[in-house]
Amino acid sequence: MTRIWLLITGVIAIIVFATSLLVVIPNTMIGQVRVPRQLAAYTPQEARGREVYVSEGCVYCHSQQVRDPVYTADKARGWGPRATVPSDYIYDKPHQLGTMRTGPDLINIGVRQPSDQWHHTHLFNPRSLMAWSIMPAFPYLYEVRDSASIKPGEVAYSVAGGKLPPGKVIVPSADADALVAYLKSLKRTYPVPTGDEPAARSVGGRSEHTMP
Amino acid sequence: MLPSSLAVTVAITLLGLLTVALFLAAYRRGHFDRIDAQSLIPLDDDDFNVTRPWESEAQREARMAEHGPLRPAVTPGIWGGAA
Amino acid sequence: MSATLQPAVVPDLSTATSEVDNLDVRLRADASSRQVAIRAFAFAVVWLLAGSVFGLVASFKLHLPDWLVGNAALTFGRVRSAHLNAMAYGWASSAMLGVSVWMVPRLVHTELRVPKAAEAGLYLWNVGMVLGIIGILAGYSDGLEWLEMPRYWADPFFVIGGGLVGLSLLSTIAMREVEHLYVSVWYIIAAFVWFPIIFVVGNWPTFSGVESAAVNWFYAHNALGLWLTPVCLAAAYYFIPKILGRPIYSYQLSLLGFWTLGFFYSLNGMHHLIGGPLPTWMITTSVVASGLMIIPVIAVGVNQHMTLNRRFGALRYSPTLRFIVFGAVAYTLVSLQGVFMAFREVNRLTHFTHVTVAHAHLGLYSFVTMIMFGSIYYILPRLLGREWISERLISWHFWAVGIGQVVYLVPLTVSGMVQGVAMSDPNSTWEQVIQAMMPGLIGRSIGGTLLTIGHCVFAYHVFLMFRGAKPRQGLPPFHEVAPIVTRRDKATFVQGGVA
Repeated sequence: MTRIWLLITGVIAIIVFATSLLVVIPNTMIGQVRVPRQLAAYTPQEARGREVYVSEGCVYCHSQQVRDPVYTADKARGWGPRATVPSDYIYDKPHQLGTMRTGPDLINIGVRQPSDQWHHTHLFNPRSLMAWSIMPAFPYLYEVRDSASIKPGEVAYSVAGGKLPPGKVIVPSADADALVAYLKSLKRTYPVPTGDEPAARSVGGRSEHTMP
Repeated sequence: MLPSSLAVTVAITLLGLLTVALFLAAYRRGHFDRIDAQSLIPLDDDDFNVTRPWESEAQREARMAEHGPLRPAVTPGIWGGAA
Repeated sequence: MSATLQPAVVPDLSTATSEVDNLDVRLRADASSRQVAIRAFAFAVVWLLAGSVFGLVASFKLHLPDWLVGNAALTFGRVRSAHLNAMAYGWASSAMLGVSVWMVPRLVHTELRVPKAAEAGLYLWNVGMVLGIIGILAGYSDGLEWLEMPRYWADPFFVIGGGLVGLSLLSTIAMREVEHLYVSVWYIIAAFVWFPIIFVVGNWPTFSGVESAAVNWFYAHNALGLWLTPVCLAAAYYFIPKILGRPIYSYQLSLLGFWTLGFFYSLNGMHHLIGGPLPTWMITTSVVASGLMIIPVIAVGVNQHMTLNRRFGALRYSPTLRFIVFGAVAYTLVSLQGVFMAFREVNRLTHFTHVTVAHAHLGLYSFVTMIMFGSIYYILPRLLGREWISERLISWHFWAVGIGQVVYLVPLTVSGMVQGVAMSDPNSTWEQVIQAMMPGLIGRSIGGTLLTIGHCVFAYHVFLMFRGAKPRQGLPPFHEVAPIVTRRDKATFVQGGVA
């Protein structure tokens, strides 16, 4: 009988150790990550847009992290002027860091693509802008209407690339507007507050993210 | 940095020592005796002395030497539940 | 308390009585787990089919991106999640629940205790599955990979359901008749203790930012290493010696493998975030732990290879061994691949590419799924009291999924590497990156289709078994050692009426 308790104790000790190391200890350190002055919290619309991003599963093709420029091409690709740091994600719950890049990294997409028109037509059908794209289309986030039916004050977009019959335009739903607002808010180009700065690199590509 | 702080180092050392102590206690209590016998647990009596079509002559002979005469493998028609 | 069952730690062939008792032990163990195990396998097969459909739809969408886009429930991001969860928690976990409740009574020579709890746990688990998959497709994903099912109204079913099955297993072990616990029992207990803990930690709602990422991948890698892997290793450690009729090569190695697996695997999680915005010490810990995984992997690999040494001919005769050895070899391969992928210089090129997806499937399919197939091929006839109907169906299943895996994994890995190289060249366009991955995506769809065909063959065969069809041939398809004995044949068996 004692053997099974020995086994269970050992098994629990293992997981307690790992949890302490990878969950508890970091948790006690997280309070020391500073909120960047230049980073605003998400507005209600942007927050809703983030929920749409999560709900549609964008994370399965898009990452949201710029890695160390010394040993990756992330910065050279124009995805950001610096590697991203923990304080960049302080308002993100849940994280959407991502582990796949079927599409490009998005943490600074708000800088690269500031245009509502671009985002909406891209989301409606990516192939209207890039014939080679394999990104899913999200037509259900939009209402297709005759351009004549658009009243003043309503925002509508035409879609190129033969993805819409002539005379039709798309009207974004509230969720589409929210998603685009969120995407446009993705800008992490400000200089990091001191204390979070990536330190000097050593040979072999290891960089030191120091947390106080 | 917290990970290299004294409190964490002491805690991990104590945890490690506890692990070693438990291991020694188990060893003293005889949990590691007859280790090889434990490897026989899944094998039932009738698993040993059956001919296995993939075994070589030498393997079959070794099996017979250790477990006695072998029962032949299944004969058509005589097994539970099926025609 | 049941009547004492004779423990059989040391085989005694001198008397027929001993044979009767030993057989009696097995029959009673099987009878006690029968109700739960066959239901678990039935659920597992249903989720295997559902997960295959989700997987195929997702795979085809990546090279036919305008297919089925009209409805949010079928968008790639949701169907892909549904595939992962249906396969990991539906197919693999249900099969593992069935294998566990069957194997533990056999190994401790004791009837399954509190079987009603295990049964209830199984049902609750599957209620959670239905709610979870609906939740994902309806857009209520929690947004964390491997943790998508809604944490407040789907996840509790897994904690409680898994806990109830664990309770049943633990009670059985606590009231056992044998003194020593075989290594498979260690792995199974460990899995059932680890899973609820990591699942609750992973789903804990208070984390945000990079901490949320650390907890996410702490959980997700441990779901592989501390839930799926142990139960599948338990199966391999049981069936390989059992069918070969010889004990595992080195029991000491298996104990070493167990403890080092737990200790190192549990620290691996951050290797999913190499290069990411996490403190370097966390990532380094995981990289080092990933490298140290060499130890348990070699221990398991040596053990299984040496046990099988000069007996690989068995694979021609035993379908169970065919699948299980395939899985065991895949375990060594995927783990070694994982060790390499954790090194920064390799990771620089493989991270974010389809190499990761291929690696995941080498583990989850070639290791986990194949071992579950092999286990079901052994267990189900003994619980239903009848042989598999057709050797040909087993063969078609094996070859369809065997070839399917090669067609899936090789193009996807190669394309993934080309994708990685293209991504690391700052002058390449994204169009070139897409073109690099395209052959792999199409290969995956073809491979996945073959896999699905294999699953349909398997599901059909299982269905025939449940329906009570009679085998068409004269010989049991297994060519395995002992016939499937049922209670009424026990007397004949002992008296030598059966060959």
